[in-house]
Amino acid sequence: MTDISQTFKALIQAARRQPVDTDVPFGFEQRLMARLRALPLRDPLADWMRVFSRAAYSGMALSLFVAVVAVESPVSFGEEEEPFELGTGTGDASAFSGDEIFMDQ
Amino acid sequence: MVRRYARREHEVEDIVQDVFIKAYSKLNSWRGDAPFEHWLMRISVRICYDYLRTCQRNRELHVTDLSEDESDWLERQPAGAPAGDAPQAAQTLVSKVLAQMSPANRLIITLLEIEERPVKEIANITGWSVSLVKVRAFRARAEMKRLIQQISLTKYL
Repeated sequence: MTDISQTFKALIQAARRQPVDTDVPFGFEQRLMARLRALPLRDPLADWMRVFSRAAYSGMALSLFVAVVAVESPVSFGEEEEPFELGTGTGDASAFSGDEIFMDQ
Repeated sequence: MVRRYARREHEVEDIVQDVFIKAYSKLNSWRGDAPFEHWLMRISVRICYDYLRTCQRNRELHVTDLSEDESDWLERQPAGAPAGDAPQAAQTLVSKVLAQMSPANRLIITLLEIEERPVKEIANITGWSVSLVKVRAFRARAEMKRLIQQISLTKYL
């Protein structure tokens, strides 16, 4: 059975003494610069414009859809309402002319 | 620094490229009050940590994976062999043991034990709290010792 703590320390010492290779591969800078140049430029104003244009397109599409539904619908709004008949109902405002107030006086 | 986390050269290149690209795209988040090296180090460590998390597989280590030199070193090391010479066998063995550890534990062992950075700096680099770094360091040492013990036990079976 080995002494684990001692082996642990020895391994850590070995890792500390392990030389780290700092050589840069051939052409690494060129590849990196090519990737950086290929990156799209981030413009915050353009991002906002993209969001707003998407919202505008969505809004236009929605309003167009609502308009088409309203035009193509077989039921036209306003025709299905019950006709208003004069003199019916308890609260008929047209039946009250206002002259009754002066008639009592 | 990246070579401590990735062994294959093309993986090192990919990680370093990611570091530079992220640094370039996040350059506006760098505040001038902190040294640029620290900021770049933080990005590097986070990308290395993500890399370790994405490729944590094949973590089963068998004694047959050890070479004869590594087994010999492991056998004679506790008998009082000098640790200062750091033979190749010990270096490959520690690389294999680190490769079996969980990403967080490997990161802590590398930063704290191998690179000998202070706990506060590690907390700053990783974004973890100081107490979390200490807890993870304790767990990382325990995991590494457990792995060494596992290798040693298997060797004698």
